[in-house]
Amino acid sequence: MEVDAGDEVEARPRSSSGSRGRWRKVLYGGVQEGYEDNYTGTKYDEYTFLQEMVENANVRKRSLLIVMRDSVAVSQHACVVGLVGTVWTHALNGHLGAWTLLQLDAVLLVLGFMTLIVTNENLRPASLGRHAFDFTMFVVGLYILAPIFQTLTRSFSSDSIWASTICLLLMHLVFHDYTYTTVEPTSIELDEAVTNLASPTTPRSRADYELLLQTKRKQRSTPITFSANVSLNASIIASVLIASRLSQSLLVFAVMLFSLEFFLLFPLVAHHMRRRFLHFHLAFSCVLIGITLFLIYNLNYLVFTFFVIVVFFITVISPYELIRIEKFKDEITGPWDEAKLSFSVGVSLSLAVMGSSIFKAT
Amino acid sequence: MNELRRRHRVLMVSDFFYPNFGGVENHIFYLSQCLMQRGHKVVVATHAYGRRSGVRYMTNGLKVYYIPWLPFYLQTSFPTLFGTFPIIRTIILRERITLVHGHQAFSTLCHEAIMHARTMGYKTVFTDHSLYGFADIGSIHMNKVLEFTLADVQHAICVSHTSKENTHLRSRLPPEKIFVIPNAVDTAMFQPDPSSRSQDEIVIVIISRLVYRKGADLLVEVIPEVCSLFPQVRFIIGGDGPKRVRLEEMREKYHLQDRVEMLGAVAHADVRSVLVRGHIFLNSSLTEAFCIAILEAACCGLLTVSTKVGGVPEVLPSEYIVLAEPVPARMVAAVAQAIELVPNIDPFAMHNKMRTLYSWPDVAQRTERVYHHAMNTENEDLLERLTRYNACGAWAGKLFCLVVIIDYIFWQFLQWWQPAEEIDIAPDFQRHQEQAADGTGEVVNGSLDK
Repeated sequence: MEVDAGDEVEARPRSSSGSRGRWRKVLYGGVQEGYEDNYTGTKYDEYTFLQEMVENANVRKRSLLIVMRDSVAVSQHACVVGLVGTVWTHALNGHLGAWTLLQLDAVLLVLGFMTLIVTNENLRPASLGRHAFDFTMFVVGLYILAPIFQTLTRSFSSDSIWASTICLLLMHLVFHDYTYTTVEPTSIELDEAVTNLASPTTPRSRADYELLLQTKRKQRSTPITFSANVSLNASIIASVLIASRLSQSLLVFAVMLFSLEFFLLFPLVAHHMRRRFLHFHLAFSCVLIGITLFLIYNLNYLVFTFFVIVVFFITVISPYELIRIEKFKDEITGPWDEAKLSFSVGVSLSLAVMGSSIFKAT
Repeated sequence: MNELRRRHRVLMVSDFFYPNFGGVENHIFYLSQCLMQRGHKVVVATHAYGRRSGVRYMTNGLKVYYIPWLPFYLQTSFPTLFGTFPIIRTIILRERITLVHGHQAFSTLCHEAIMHARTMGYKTVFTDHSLYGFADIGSIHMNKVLEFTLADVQHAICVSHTSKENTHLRSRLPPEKIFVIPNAVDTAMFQPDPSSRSQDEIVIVIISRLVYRKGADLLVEVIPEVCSLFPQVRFIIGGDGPKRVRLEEMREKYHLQDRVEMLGAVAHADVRSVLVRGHIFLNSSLTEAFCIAILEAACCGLLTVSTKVGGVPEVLPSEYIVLAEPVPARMVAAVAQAIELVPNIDPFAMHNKMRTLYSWPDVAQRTERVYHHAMNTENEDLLERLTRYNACGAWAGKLFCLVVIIDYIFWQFLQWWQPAEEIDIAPDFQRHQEQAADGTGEVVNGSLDK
């Protein structure tokens, strides 16, 4: 253990001993003969410094077209808000009668339910009946409450109502769960999770895997996040505020129903439509965007220009920007990272399976 | 040779010290004891723990300052940047400190003490005991703070090569300034005792806090599989934590009450008595800079099965450890392999080998060399230090410089307000001075002053 006292700290081996062995990346056995403690593995050693570091391992190369395709869902939702806003304006101006709007509501409702039946393979007749019953109760409740909504904000000025409505709609747009329509679990990810659970010696039954797989899909496809709830509530409050400025209670009911169809039911329909018929959904979105822009064009040029810019920004500029700044991504992973468990941690397997069977029963 | 005999007066600073218990606390205690035996003066500074406040003496006159400063989160003291300067300065002057050695990256007291010591012109060394990621907000913040502190330390010490890479990436400290000195284990405390083992079955021992980071969820998957594969295997689980409920659930679900024994929290003094009952030690950590637990297990003659994470693969020779990816199926396979290997293991041979591989005096000797190197670095004035801080980032660099300049002005104020000559010098604890002269002591095994 000789060390020259005045020696500078050097990252090269000490010169005192000639017969030094190979440096190894181990901690036991004290100081390695011939190497200082600050010796850093070089390419001549078994281990080079930072050899196991991996850069950008989890970064997925995105294709511009796919990002643009997925962004349509976002601009579609912005247009939904625009569409509902247009209908509100027409109803407030008296251009839209209560019966016309009610007929429109009915048509949209039937179309929506038909789309759900076609696209959602999990929907069974029994549960469909239950859904229909729930929805009827909901509509009846709305009808009874309509007169109350009508007088709710009588003591406020229209300006403050419009201002708060716009704020609420912006909040709705910001917190809306866009991933619900776009993202779905890739099957590779799920398969990996299941294989990792499997033991080489005592494989669990295939049925277990299926159940687990389904549970995972359920967990991913129906996420209930806090922000999504905030978003939904903001849109409903906005609808109530607008409805409260209308002259007759039937119109209040019609407008409320229209808003709820779009804010509450439409995301569900869009989600299933997209999962089943991706291209149809794309075409449908484009048509919806077209209709909205046309309606807004007839309403106000300024708002129209604004909407065109928004749609262009969402579907063209944002994806392009995302792809462009992707090359600055510098993610570092290595052996020092906390290992990620590949199976569900919070819910044990048994609970997951139980949960999925309960879901099936309903 | 003159330099080699040079005595340092070291101030160890960390928020983590006894009566808190863990790897860092142990490290500081044993390192201090061995350094004192090598003839250096060591003083420990930490924050007050409950009513344990003020100055205490521990084994062999290790002086500990419990600074009355409130801990606010996970035993770290409240960060004030400058609040600790007066008391740190007083301690340094009273004890005639020549070098400040800080421990653990999330100890705020350590960061502040190192900054103040640098302002006062003392040489500093920093030891990093854990690993951090780069992705989450907490880590990003911690890494910036570390970059600030390490911008000006003379040397850093890491406990494993993986930890060195991690520290280098986090703080951009040049690798040649980072020394790798592992932890050690007090081998005398961990003697094997095969007579307390069960003869007809294989006992797998797990001692860890039952939390996510220690891989408790992995155990929930692994234990039932192993039990169903090997009827002769029993488990003993020592430790407590939020995940204990999940393990108990697992035990009931698979009817393993008679095969999985859960002891609850095990005091460190009792760890050996649990370890010697087993043949295999299972470590399921998801991240680990250096795993002391497997070192203690190996010392007791247990074959170790561990997840291949962080610095774990560097700790033990390959014949004493079976490594596996942190995936249930692989872990089960590794346990199976270990069960095959167990009959060939001689606990006493393993213990004797471990004695030669790890010892605290060796760690102290290597740390002492880092101190020598640190003392031999050039003194720098404020401007030279500021250039280094400024290089830490476009905005952060300016901010760091500002903090350092204010610290400097504060120091000047303190020197005027309470001149160094007016601070009394504390007399040194005399008992071991003459014994320490030979410089080769053994690990002091004394009882901890609890």
